[in-house]
Amino acid sequence: MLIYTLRRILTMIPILFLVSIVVFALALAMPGDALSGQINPANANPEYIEEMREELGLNDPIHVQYGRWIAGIVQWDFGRSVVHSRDVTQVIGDRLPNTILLSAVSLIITYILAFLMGRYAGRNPYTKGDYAIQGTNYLMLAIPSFVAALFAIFIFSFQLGWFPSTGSVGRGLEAGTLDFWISKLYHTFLPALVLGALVTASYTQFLRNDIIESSQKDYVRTARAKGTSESDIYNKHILRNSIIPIVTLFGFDIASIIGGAVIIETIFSYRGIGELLITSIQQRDSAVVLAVTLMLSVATLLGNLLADLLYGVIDPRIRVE
Amino acid sequence: MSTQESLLKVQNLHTGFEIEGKTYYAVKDVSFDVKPKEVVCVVGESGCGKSVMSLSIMDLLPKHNGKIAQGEILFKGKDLVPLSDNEMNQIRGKDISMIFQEPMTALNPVLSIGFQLDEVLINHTTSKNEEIRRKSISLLQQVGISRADQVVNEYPHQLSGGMRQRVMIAMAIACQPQLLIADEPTTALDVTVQAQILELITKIQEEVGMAMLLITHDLGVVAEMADRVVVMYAGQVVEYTDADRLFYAPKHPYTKALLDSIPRMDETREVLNTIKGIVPSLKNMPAKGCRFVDRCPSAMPECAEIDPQLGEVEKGHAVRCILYDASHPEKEAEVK
Ligand SMILES: Nc1ncnc2c1ncn2[C@@H]1O[C@H](COP(=O)(O)OP(=O)(O)OP(=O)(O)O)[C@@H](O)[C@H]1O
Ligand SMILES: [Mg+2]
Repeated sequence: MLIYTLRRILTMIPILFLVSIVVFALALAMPGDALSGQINPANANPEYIEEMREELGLNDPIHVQYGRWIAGIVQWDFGRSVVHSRDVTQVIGDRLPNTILLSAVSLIITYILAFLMGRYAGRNPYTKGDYAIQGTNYLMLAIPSFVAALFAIFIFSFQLGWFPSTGSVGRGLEAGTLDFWISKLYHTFLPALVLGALVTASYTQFLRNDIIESSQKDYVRTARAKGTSESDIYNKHILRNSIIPIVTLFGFDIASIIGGAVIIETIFSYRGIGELLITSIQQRDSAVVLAVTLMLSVATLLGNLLADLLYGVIDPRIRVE
Repeated sequence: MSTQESLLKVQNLHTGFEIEGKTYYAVKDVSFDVKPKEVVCVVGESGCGKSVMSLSIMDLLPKHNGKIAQGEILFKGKDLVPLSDNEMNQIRGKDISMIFQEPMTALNPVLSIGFQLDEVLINHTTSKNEEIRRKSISLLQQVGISRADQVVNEYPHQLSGGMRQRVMIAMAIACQPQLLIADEPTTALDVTVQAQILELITKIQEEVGMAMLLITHDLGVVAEMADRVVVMYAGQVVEYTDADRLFYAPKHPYTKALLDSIPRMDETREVLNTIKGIVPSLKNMPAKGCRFVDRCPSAMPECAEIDPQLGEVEKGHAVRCILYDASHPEKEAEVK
């Protein structure tokens, strides 16, 4: 297991290298650069612009620019944000906790809902409750997340007034106080719910189908032949099997949740990484765009790694080699 | 047959499957009994309803389409058919246990052997955890697993088919049941392992002093182990008697054909006799007449018309064939 883990981590290095090249190439392909967003060409002296470009290294050959970027990253220097006039690490550092909170709350809601609904539907297939859950699932799968977000804001914020529609924390609260955290969670709940909707629906469906399938397996018959009660059969024998694929999906879903966060944060004006990425793209703040994109890619890779390792921990058939 | 009270008495059992809104009977009018400590073998071709019959006794039919439609299953005089799931759970694994045909899939892949073995003891005893684990280990030793204290922590995929079947046997005998149902316990195993497992089952059956309903299509096994034999064909019992009479004085044409199909050491035959044709499938069962008529060498015109009854041709020897008056619905009355 340990050797497997190490090998798995080592194979990530060349992948990371490739990812960095792709990310860098994509950033270069973006029209304009840091200066074109900031300076009105009609007002500025073209020679001055040229000078600035030279100074920022924008005129160097691509491989030199890439080398400089990578060399910086290795020393944990992601460059400076032209828009914010601060180090990229600081800009991201401000936003990252919000996104982590959003993703974590979203995952927790997802797992709780999917577990409850999937288990219920799987144990009572083809009943009214099952049909209701499946109907909800299909809705969640069919509606794009930005539409769902707008609906959620309309219903829960505007009509019912249960949750705030924008922001990630209430105004005038001192960071670190209990009220501050409560306000944070309160602001996070609705976007987290919408963010997790798609994953919740697919997990619920997955769990339901797997439970139904597992309940016909031979080992369930064996358990019955031992006089095991119906609830033990579901809770110990079937769930133990059906939960495996879902737990291992966890790693992969980190990626999809982060991807979804970009859209949801923008709609909810939730000050996280996703919102930062969108505004940075609009403002051609390439250092930030590069860093955030690279970070999202690394998170995806780590998620996959986590998925593989979890699989080994939870499934005894993989555990031994 | 002795007058001793039956441990298990199956009477007039009908088990059906609902397929596309219609009920088809995989077991139709099966009756037999098992006495304490006796070995009763059930033989018959593939698809004749042996597994369905044994699952009916344990109330383990697939819930979505299988159902006992008629009949009684008396265990120590008490009918099991009307019992609820909870009531059956008190009996399953404790008084009656079962070993299945497929050891490869019968154990839960994600639970340890120890967990699965402990479970049956937890279900039926009030012992403490350490005591249960100790009992599990000694059960594994009893079924001939040498590294028992390691095997309890292992998972099914780490064991061979033969080992898994040993674990299944350990589970089945954990609570010293009075009846063990073994549904072709060796069919899925290597030939060499088959002999070992059968030997183990016989040894344990004698040690524990339990009765056994052994389902098989190996007549060699029957000759070696059976006290009495139930011959099934297409969901029905066609002959039912003690092992001696079955081998030396078979009555039903199907039994005769089955016996004819085993190769003998003392004969030099070029071709094995096989029974021509196949067992009719559930959906193609003849609506009336004998179910064996199409394949029967002694078939008469009436065979396709008259439903033969299972009747005693002599004490302790029942046959379902109108060659014998006892099976003839009209003549039966005269016999009595
Ligand atoms: N779940 C089910 N749904 C529908 N039909 C079934 C089901 N299980 C069994 N049958 C049918 O019932 C009949 C008897 O099957 P059964 O498994 O009892 O045969 P068997 O005598 O045990 O055969 P084998 O020697 O191959 O194990 C077969 O025709 C089979 O197709
Ligand atoms: Mg069978």
